[in-house]
Amino acid sequence: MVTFLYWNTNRKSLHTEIRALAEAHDVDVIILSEFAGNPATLIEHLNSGRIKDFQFAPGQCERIQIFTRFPSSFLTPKAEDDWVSIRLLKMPARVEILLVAAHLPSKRFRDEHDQEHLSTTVARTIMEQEKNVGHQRTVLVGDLNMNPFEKGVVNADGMNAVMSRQVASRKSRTVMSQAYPFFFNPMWAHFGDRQEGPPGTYYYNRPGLVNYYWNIFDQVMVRPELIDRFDSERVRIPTKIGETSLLFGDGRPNKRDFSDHLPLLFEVEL
Amino acid sequence: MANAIPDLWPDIEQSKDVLPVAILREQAAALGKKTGHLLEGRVNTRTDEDGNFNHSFYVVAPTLDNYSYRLISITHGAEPYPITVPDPQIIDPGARSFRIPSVHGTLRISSEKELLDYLREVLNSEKTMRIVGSLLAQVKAAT
Repeated sequence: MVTFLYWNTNRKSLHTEIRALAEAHDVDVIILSEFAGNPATLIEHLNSGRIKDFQFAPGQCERIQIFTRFPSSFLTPKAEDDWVSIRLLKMPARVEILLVAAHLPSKRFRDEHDQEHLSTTVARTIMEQEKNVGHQRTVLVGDLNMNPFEKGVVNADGMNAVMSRQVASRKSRTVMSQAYPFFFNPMWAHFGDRQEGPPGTYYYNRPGLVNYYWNIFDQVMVRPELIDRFDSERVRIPTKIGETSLLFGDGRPNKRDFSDHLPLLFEVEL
Repeated sequence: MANAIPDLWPDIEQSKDVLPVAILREQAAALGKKTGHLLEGRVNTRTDEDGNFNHSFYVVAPTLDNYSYRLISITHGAEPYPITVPDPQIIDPGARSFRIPSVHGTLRISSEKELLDYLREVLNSEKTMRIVGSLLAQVKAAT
């Protein structure tokens, strides 16, 4: 089992908190965005605790930083741009996967059409890379700045991510003679109060008629080929690190001391 | 017998405009020459469901298992201009530019000259130089 942590750290370094999360959950791969710390300093923090051997896995996408608890050479960049880093994770005697780490543009600067357009570009790049490596064992994780129900995530020519494992198991959907592979998006199950975790990963009290308050911009999704190796019950949105809460007293993320986004943990059997 | 239906078309001539994709392909070829083909430029074109042409320019490292970095994407309709750039390169905060927003936002390009200005600015930016320089170093280290 390989454990992944994703966190948008809200232009903070949060070295201590990242290390504590990594230790508490036995994390193998840390994926960060808006990380304002220094990779070398974070490595020092990570490797001074109970778990060691973290390495920085550099790439050209400046919005994403990845750290691995195994040789970083096992995680090879395949395709990148300003928003996405696609890596091949190939560990000895393990099943190889494509890891897509994304931090897509904020709604503050882009409208939904721009977001949909970029989703289509990202989706095509993923499909190209899947063709190159000869499989669709792909995990996509990151801050998409879109909710699971928004067009850029749902559109067939976007992420084509569906809420149902059973639907995703059909593998693809054909629209106007073009087949688009599904992602299974377990994040739908994390909305609202009827589950153990917080109602979302990001709270925003926006003006205007439509206001969701809680959003799930931070998402993980997998292709059908990986569904049997992915336990959606193990997707967690931690709100505490030890005894320290990541939330204000009223339940919103404590963006003053930590981040406006909550972290995301998940596991893949490789 | 019914009258023959006339051909209403005038004589058709190919446009003499230099197409945006041709300008991108030229830059792709120039990157290969400049780096001794250790890096190559690649331009992919697709059409979307609205009939727009989307062209993306990639820096490719053939010896790094064809690693690619998407540097530029532009979109236009049936006519080559105006062009929209849905995700203009994020330029270094310190860089001064009248063409490229330092914060994100869609960019509109109205002419061939503006496209050349835009490409010149992106290709000469500190960020592009950093990416290309880093890839070149990795290619050389791997050989």
